[in-house]
Amino acid sequence: MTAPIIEFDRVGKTYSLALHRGGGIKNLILNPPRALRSMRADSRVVLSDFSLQVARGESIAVMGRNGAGKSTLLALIAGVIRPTTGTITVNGRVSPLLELGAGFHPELTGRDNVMLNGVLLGLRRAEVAARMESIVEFAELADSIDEPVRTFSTGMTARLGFSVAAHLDPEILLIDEVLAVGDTAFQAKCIDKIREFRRRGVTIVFVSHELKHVRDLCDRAVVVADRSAAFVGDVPAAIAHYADMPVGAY
Amino acid sequence: MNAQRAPLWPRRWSHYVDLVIALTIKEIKVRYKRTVLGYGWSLLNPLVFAVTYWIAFKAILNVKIEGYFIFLLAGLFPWQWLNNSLQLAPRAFINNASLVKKIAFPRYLIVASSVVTEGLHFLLCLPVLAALALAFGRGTVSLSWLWGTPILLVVQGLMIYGIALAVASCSVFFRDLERLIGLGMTVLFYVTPVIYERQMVPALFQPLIDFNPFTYLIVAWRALLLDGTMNWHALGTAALIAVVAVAVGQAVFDRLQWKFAEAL
Repeated sequence: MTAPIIEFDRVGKTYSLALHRGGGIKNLILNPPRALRSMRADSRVVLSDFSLQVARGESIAVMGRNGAGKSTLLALIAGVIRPTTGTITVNGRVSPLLELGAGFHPELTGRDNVMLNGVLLGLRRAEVAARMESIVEFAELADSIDEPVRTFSTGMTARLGFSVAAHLDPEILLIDEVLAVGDTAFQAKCIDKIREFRRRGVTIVFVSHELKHVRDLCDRAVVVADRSAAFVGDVPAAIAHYADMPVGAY
Repeated sequence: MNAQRAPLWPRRWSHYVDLVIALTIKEIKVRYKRTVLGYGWSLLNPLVFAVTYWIAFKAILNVKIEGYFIFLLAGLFPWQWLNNSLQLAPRAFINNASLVKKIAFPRYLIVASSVVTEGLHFLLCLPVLAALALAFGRGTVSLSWLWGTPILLVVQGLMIYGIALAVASCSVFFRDLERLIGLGMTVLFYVTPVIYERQMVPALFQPLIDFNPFTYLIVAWRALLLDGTMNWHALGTAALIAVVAVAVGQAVFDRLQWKFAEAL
């Protein structure tokens, strides 16, 4: 077996809650020891001792309750955050579809946003320009592409976001619940596109609560619970494991 | 501790250039949406201040500087560049939270593009300054502008970038910085020889002026724009400060950037 394209080795992730607490510099100046102590103490462990290997070309589902750490997992692969302990090795170009239309600016037109988003996601300006018509066509937004995105509906924004992502050349595709928006017809189109990526050998990490999509699209699944990989295995077994988890289990 | 990873991002220079261009276009388009004057504001601002200061200090206080109006503009244009950039810095990452949280890309380019945007505005002000200098018969339009301007642009751009990057990174965690910078820049304006000449400062306060990194930029710009000469001492000092600023800014950013997505 070749080296895994994504490898989590005893990864732990702790979020510091102090970052969200007010007080600013004032507390730090007025009472430095206490401010620092409370900063260290206020934290929440999301993952600890999480290990997982994803093989090249594999399509893996991530399942788990709200707050179990699924999105943290994807953010770690995308490289937006770093693990607190352990190591993550990623051997390929990642296309993060963490949120459709992330980074779209409401005042800019659809076309301007496609250019900006495409470049941010790793394409050259010339490449985005060359794919522009195809992106607009896939999103079915030819009529409104030159309007500001603030005039778009949620579904339209999501379609445009997915369309940009569908025109990248990823080796790893991260998909976080993005199919929940958009009408049925467009969902079907997205599923087709994801299948096409799969055929091309793109590794897919798929977060969804829609079991039908998980069954359709994934070879394997990991259930995240109790801050680590509670179950890793084939999709039907994972779904059974997930369904059997006691209510309130994390 | 650290994640080992293959480069997430194709680390090619040309791609960085594309990113800066795309982010700069975004900045400019967003800023001028629904404004009538657009870039005209970056001209109008210093002009209005120059007229105000001219009335206060020339017409009323009778300051002894030749061609005071043009003298003011030659300081106010570069000051506006650094002032705007630093005032915007605290919100650089905060305003782009969705990019920072959801997309892995070299995030310091957000700050870089904001400095470039302000720099472009400054560049567009220079022909106006030249025209006014000719009209008022103060200063010389000199060939030295051709090589002096790019050098000073780079030095000032780097100095602002370094400071702005540190400010932008820290203010993700300490939002108070925005207020502090606002206050600090107002004070700094009067501690920088923009409305007066460095030589006019009493010996007692000279160290205060010389300790201010922006002094050297303004002094160098003014020598170039008004006299067509390069003040090598001021340029050298400014360049040295710029290198230190970039090193410090990048170090602060590198330490803090992994917490951005969590704190925003």
